[in-house]
Amino acid sequence: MRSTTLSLALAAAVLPAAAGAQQWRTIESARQLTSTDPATVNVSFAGGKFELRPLPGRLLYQMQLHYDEQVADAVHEFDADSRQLTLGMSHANMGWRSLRAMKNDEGGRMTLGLNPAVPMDLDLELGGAQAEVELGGMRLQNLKLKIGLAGGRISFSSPNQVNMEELSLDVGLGGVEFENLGNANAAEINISGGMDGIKLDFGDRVMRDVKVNADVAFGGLKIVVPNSAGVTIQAETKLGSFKPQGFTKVNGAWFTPNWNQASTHVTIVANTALGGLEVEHAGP
Amino acid sequence: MRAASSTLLLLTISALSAPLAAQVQVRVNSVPQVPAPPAVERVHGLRGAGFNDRAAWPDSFDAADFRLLTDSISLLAKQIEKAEMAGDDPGQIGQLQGRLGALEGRLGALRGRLGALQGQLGRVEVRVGELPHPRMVHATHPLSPKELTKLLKQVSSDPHGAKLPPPDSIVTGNFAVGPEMTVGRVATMGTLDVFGNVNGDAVALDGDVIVHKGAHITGDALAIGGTVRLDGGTVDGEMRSLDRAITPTQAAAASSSGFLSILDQVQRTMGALVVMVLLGFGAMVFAEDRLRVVSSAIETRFGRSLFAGILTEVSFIPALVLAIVLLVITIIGIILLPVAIPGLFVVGALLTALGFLAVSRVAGQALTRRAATVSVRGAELRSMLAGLFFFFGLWLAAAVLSWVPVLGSLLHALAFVVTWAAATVGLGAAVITRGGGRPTTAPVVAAPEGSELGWQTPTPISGIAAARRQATNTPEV
Repeated sequence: MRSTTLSLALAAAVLPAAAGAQQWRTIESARQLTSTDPATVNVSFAGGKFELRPLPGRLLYQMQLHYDEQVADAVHEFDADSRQLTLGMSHANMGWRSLRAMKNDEGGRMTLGLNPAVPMDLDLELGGAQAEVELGGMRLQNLKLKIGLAGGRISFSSPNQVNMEELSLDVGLGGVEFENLGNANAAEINISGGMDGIKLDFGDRVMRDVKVNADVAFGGLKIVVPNSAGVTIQAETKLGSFKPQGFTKVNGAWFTPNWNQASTHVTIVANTALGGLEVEHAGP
Repeated sequence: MRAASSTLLLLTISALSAPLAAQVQVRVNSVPQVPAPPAVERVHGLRGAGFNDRAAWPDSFDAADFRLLTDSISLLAKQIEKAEMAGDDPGQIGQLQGRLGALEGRLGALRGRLGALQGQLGRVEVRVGELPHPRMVHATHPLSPKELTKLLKQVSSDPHGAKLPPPDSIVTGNFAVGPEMTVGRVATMGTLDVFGNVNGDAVALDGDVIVHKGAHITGDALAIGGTVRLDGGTVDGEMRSLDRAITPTQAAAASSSGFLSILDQVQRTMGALVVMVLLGFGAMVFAEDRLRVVSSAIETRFGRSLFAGILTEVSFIPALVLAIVLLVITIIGIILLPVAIPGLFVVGALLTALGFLAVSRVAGQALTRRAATVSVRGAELRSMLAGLFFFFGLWLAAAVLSWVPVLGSLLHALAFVVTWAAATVGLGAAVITRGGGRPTTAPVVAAPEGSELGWQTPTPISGIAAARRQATNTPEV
């Protein structure tokens, strides 16, 4: 009887530890560049630190992924016929505990380099990842970005080499900051979500006319547009504040004084709740 | 003249190899007309162990060097023979012969290194024989054949690994695919240098894959416990490296991840059950009356409880937002906000827990039969525990059978639906009874015939007659 009790106690002590065991693994994957035909790139990463940067040279991509193989599996597939590249993690067993574990000190991390010579539709799905994304000099035709819990900084330090049709941002609880968004060369930017605030800084210049559709709750939306571009705002704010300084209201829409003279224009259609909308028309 | 040259060449190779054979028992195989390279079948390094201990592998480097050298001699011999047969420019043939002379010097150096190796290890045994692949040099490895087979199987079954050839085709030691050589898929337990062509995958276990200038791999290049280095060559497939070799022990651990996942689910379910049982004990001690009232509401007003529960769930978020808005518009509200919002969640959680415990009790009543010797309170406790075990039993079954493809998912869905329904009804009952503080009007129970009169006190022998007591449905205590 006593031995049975001792066995049960031992099992109770050991089993949770065994169940919570992690098995970290690092995988590196790369492919040589064989063609500069357009490609579709899907990247998925759940928790930890995510870094993306251009990778000039002879490689199509280079990925280093550190992950807990008890809760996720690495994905590194390329279909040469359809030119579809899928990288990152699959989240079959991913739960809250796993996500928390991935975000710990020895957490998951993914470093990815993509060749800027290849025109691509880039789809980034970053669940709970803290993202540092540099997209300057790439050839992005479309960019979809989904960020769940953490947040990130996305930068276009140099101009996108092709016209981007759509930049789509879907943010959950985290906050996101775009830097030099004017270099994205995007025709349309769609923003939704964002419990922790979203900042769109167009930087020094806006390469072409762009329409920003924003549907943001709680966290607020701040948009910084350079003086060289004309700005118009059609805003609907619920339980929030909207104070466009230096704008003139005409037929329900707000305009900057340089709207007619500006070579490029930013049209903002915003629907915000609780967080407020702030548009700053400043800089060069 | 040409035949004489070939013979001379064969003699040269034999002469180069003979001193080496004398020292480390190497025999040179040669085929008439077509010179074959000297081949070392096995180099036994009898010291050192540990798969990842590179220092314990002093033999592997020399073995690969030796193999590369002999391959080069073989290639040169073929080239010279071909050039002589074709009557090529004597200058070109002389150039090739010059390279052969250089190789002679390198072979001499190698002989010295093997001698040094022999001294270092204490004993070096080299066995000679016919090889399935004449270019391969095999060195023994600390892993037993069984372990090696298991490891290779594991790497082959690893989704990030590669399909490997049988163990006897694995090159154990460093290996190089020489320039102008074409081989099929190749796998080594050591570093793999590719100068030529590989038709298929190139795999290095516990070593690097180095793709040198002019090399071409048509498949993937995979390094486990090393890296893939691109040094001017071409890889058509993926270049992939894993941080560590998957030893059989680790592989076994990896294969048990499914079991650990089940264990994790069971652990979580048991943890939740323990929490609910503790809450149940707490409710029985501190809120027994409320628990009874909520249970009674579930029994007598099931439909209304379900409706109220759904309504509460649907309206919780809007109510929360409304509460935030109402609080934000006043200064006092803003001050209260940090307390009020968490308070709402706490109240919601308490109501849900109370309701779920009440549902468990009602469900448990249906599942258990009250023993004659058990008190009412004991029966209630037993019912509640039975109900909790029933609900969590569903989750346990779903966890244990989660590895079964369809059944596992169905059980999970069933457990979720049943638990949600129970929690919803319980929450609704808790809401309509205001947390058990307002008893519901229970239906009047018809008194059984023949016992319509109950006596409040025994009839005295003399004096005032006992008063008649009105029939009630007060629970028996």
